[in-house]
Amino acid sequence: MGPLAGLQTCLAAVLETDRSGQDVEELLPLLWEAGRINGTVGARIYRNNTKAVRIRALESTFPVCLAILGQDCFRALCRDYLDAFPSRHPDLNFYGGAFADSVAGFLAHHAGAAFTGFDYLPDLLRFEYLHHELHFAADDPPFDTNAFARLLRERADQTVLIPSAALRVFRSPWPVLGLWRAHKDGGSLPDTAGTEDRLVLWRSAHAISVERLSEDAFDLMKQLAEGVCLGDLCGHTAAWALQDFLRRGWISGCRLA
Amino acid sequence: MSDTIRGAGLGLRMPHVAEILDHGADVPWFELLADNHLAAGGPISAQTDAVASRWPLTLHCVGMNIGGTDALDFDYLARIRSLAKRVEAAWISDHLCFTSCHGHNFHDLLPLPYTSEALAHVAARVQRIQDFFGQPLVVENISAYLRFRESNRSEAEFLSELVERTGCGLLLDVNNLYVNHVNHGEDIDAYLAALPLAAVREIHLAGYSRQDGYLLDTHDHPVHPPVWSLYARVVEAVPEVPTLIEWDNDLPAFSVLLDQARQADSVRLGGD
Repeated sequence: MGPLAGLQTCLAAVLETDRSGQDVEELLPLLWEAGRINGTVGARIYRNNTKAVRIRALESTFPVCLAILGQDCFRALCRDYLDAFPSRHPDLNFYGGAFADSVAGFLAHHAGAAFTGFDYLPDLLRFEYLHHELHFAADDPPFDTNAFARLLRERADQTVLIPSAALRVFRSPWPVLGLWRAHKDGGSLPDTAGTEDRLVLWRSAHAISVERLSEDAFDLMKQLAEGVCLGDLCGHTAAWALQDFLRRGWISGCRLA
Repeated sequence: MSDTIRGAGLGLRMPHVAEILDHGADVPWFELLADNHLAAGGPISAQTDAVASRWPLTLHCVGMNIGGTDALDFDYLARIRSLAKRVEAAWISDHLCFTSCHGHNFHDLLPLPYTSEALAHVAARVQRIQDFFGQPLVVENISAYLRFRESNRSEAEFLSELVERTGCGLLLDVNNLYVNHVNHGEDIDAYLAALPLAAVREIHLAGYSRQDGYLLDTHDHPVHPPVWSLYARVVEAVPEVPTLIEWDNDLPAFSVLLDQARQADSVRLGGD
């Protein structure tokens, strides 16, 4: 490792840990200190910056969970995540991809009375992340009805329908949609012991919508997303719903298996 | 210099976009924080295209990791190149810094030592980025809260040699220059004397915060009087170089940014 790489590794180590003493001690001999900011202060500024920007990204990704927990509690959960999940990409919009799993782990191992009644939280975080992700999903090309008709005519059984790039399906044992709407828009909270949610989230034009699906329709959409051929779906109990999926723009195209 | 990027422009910020598109804005050009406009589709992408259809744009990036020792991220660079082509950006800029190490992104502009090794390293990476983009990169001086003992040249000398080796352009952030002057006692006269002003394509202005006797480049205030004074000196030397107002945190009403841009034009034209 050359001097430049060594110096960057040393500074990175200072930024990645709160064990402030030892790592900063290793950095200090590398610094020139003649101004108003000494090395310890400078390192603290960068450490605070790099954490604050990631916390802001998480707060922006999960606004409803932030509102439910309050800033102090939400940031306490963030701190665990920041330490365990460094950002791996320049684009911060997707930094929260593993936050729900991190929180689930925290609740399983550390939660005390403060989190009683928040068992639904990881799934609500997963739902919020899917909703957030749809803002950045690609636009679909226009559905090619001629290609679809040709495939149906020639190789219907081997035709695979491609779900929209801006569509996600999500299943939870908790009524996450009701919880999300109640906290986002106001209104009464659902009974968390209520029925499970089977949801489709999609972006049409520039608005994101969420809808509950029946168990059969959800299973059909899930199988479509997994690339199951029409030939294997024709006997599905919700096959009747395919036309509705197409009409609503949930299907973006087709291909041969 | 691009014909379309003239006078004082504004950094486009998402909370202002709807107002700008609905009511128009008397601004000659906008700069996109490119990292906020990388969506593959959807409303952000559509808004970006709508702005691009009405105003000339430049792209300002924070993730190229120009000085980093990790491999260049060509997936990221390809997304930037694609965005630049889509919005017909006049140029693309990023900072003289490193932003990631061993695959960890810090999302902050971390300082480099100004050494021969760092210069050779940065110049090679700038050259590769320019080859990939097919156009010169514009490189900005940063506010730094650490300086390294092994530096054997000033930042301005480093940038001057970088321009000589790569033909890149420079983005002179006057606020950063002032912040470093206050925090590290760096000599502004020497800085400006060493900088190849003919390579400056763009000037940035922003506000700082004061904390415990030092300054933080927080982009959350109007431009401060000493920065306006320094700006007046700079634009006396390079009156045709376009200026950009940056404001990122505690974002005020759009009209406040317009006022700052008008003040920049006034200073450039010799007013106060």
